[in-house]
Amino acid sequence: MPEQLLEIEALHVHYELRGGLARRARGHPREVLRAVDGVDLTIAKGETLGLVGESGCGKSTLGRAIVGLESPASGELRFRGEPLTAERGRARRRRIQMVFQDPYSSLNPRMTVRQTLAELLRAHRVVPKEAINARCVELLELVGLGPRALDAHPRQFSGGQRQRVATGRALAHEPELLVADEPVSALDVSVQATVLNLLDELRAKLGLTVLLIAHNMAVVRHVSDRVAVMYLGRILETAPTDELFTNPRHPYTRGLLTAVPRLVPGRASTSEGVAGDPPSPIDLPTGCRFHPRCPLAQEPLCSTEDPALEEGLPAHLAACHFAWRAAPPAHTPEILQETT
Amino acid sequence: MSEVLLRVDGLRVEFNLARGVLRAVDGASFEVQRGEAFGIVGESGSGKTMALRALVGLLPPAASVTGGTVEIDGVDVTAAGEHALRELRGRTVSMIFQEPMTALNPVLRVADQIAETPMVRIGLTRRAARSRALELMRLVGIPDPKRRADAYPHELSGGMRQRVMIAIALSADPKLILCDEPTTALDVTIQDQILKLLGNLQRELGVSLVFVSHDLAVIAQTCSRVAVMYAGQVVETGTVDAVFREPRHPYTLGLLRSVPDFDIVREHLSSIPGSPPDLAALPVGCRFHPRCAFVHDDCRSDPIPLIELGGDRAARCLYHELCAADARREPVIAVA
Repeated sequence: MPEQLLEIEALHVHYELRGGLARRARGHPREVLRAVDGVDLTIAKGETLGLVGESGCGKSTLGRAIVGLESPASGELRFRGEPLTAERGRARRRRIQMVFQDPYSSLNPRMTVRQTLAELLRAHRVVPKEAINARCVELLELVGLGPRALDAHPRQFSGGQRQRVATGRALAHEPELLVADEPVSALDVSVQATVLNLLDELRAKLGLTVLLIAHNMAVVRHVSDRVAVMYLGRILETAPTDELFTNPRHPYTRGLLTAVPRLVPGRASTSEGVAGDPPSPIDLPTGCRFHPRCPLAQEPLCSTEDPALEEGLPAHLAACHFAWRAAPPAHTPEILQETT
Repeated sequence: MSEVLLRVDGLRVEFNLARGVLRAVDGASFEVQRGEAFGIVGESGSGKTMALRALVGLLPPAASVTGGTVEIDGVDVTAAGEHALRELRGRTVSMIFQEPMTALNPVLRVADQIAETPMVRIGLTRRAARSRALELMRLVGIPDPKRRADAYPHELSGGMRQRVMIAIALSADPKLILCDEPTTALDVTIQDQILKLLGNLQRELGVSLVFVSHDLAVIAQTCSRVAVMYAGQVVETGTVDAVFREPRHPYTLGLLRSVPDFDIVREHLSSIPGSPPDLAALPVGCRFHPRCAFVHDDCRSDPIPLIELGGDRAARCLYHELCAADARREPVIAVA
């Protein structure tokens, strides 16, 4: 069993919605958006875990909670076995760093790269004062930029280069865990590869653990050791990458894989991916949260009992009543039935 | 039924900016057959969207068509007056945009938006137009059309809004639908639903599609022929199958190799060195030569023409043979 770097147990992150003055005047409680709704997940030291899901599934919120940018409503985060809260000291904060999606807005446009890096090296006392300059050069080298980039402003860089600077900034803290939230989705295809390769190199060179949050299944397949599939605030399936892509056990994962457009002409599947739209995270379905869109859902089991993650094969967990036993024949999902 | 519906020849689109004239599209030529789905693929700034918009005279105010001809269903669009263009846009051609929320009217109920063209262009009565709208909503897979008919766009999900936009595009029985990144703003499962819907409509109604996208896989899934654009020029055309299996332009090859392919897992993703050129300071000779692995001296001197290669293929590369040989040596996409 590899050493677990981060353990997440029954984590909940809720957003209270502000609106609805009329609602509140009538004495109704505030609506709550359950962005992360009971996540269990572990990340082993040195691995790259891909976290996939569609927009609104809570994957970014989960990443932000891990870094300490969101306070959980309940549940526990443990880093190297010790509880981790959103309020953490500098030393703890340094251990987990984040690279954001949009390098155009995550860098301060008025600061040169040197100022950006030097500021945090100084504030966190990462290296002695006189070593700051040398360390800045080292960091840029690490992310594949020359020392000339040090005195440039973010606007002078292309998107891919900016993402390198943002990565360098995260690495300045010498983190053990790097949370990369859609690090390439704002970049053009021809430069995405360079940033993905960089993450891979860094992991090998620095022994970094990476949580890669992405919606692109092909990207995740290429760079992850293990994949977790998230849907409406919950992890529905986790498995080693090859296993997940070749033997998906949750009907949502299967649908998601079917829906991916393929580069090989004529390879695209003609069968349906996932029917309908995802329900609102303010008003979650009862029982299994996927049951209204599920072609296997059985009444009353699936609309009343919330399936737990169950390990059916080594390191392969799925939260479906039929993941590890004979599945019933497929039918038209409930979400399409009510329409006629 | 190989009859040409859209013929674009030497299309040039220029922006008149304070710092000078920028040529966003420089001599684009391609043909689209009746009932065919044709893809235009390229990265941001390649000119793909401007080429598409120029086809129906929907360019931004600073841009104009300064050369070339566009012929749709026998009508020369570049010579047509505003009245003829409006007639064309209302009946023969329609368009689907990337962001349905900004393309739809936020203060009109969706059925009224779908019914507008049938009333104005076909002259249906209000009542007939409404029942036509409901029929179209059913056709594009909107569940429970009667209930959704009186919804406003903000009450619908992104996927449903895109379906409404497709219903509007279909409302006057067009022969050609221009799709500008129609699924880029959507999640993968919804994208899958919309692409399958567009594919079905193309097959069942025999309508032609021109599909602009930066996503090679989306093009592979929906189109039979493709034009690859780079720095304002078409650099390669052909059937999707031929172009993706054996690209004959180094840019196409590099692009295909840099995309993580769902079907082949590579140890290391390759990438194209450098970045696309500034349109105001284009390289002399081939526009791709500073980033090209097959570059020779003659690539740096004169502009490269689009070279006809037979079998409905063309490439803007003097060394397309080297490129094809490289693609044969190491397959670009998974072999079926």
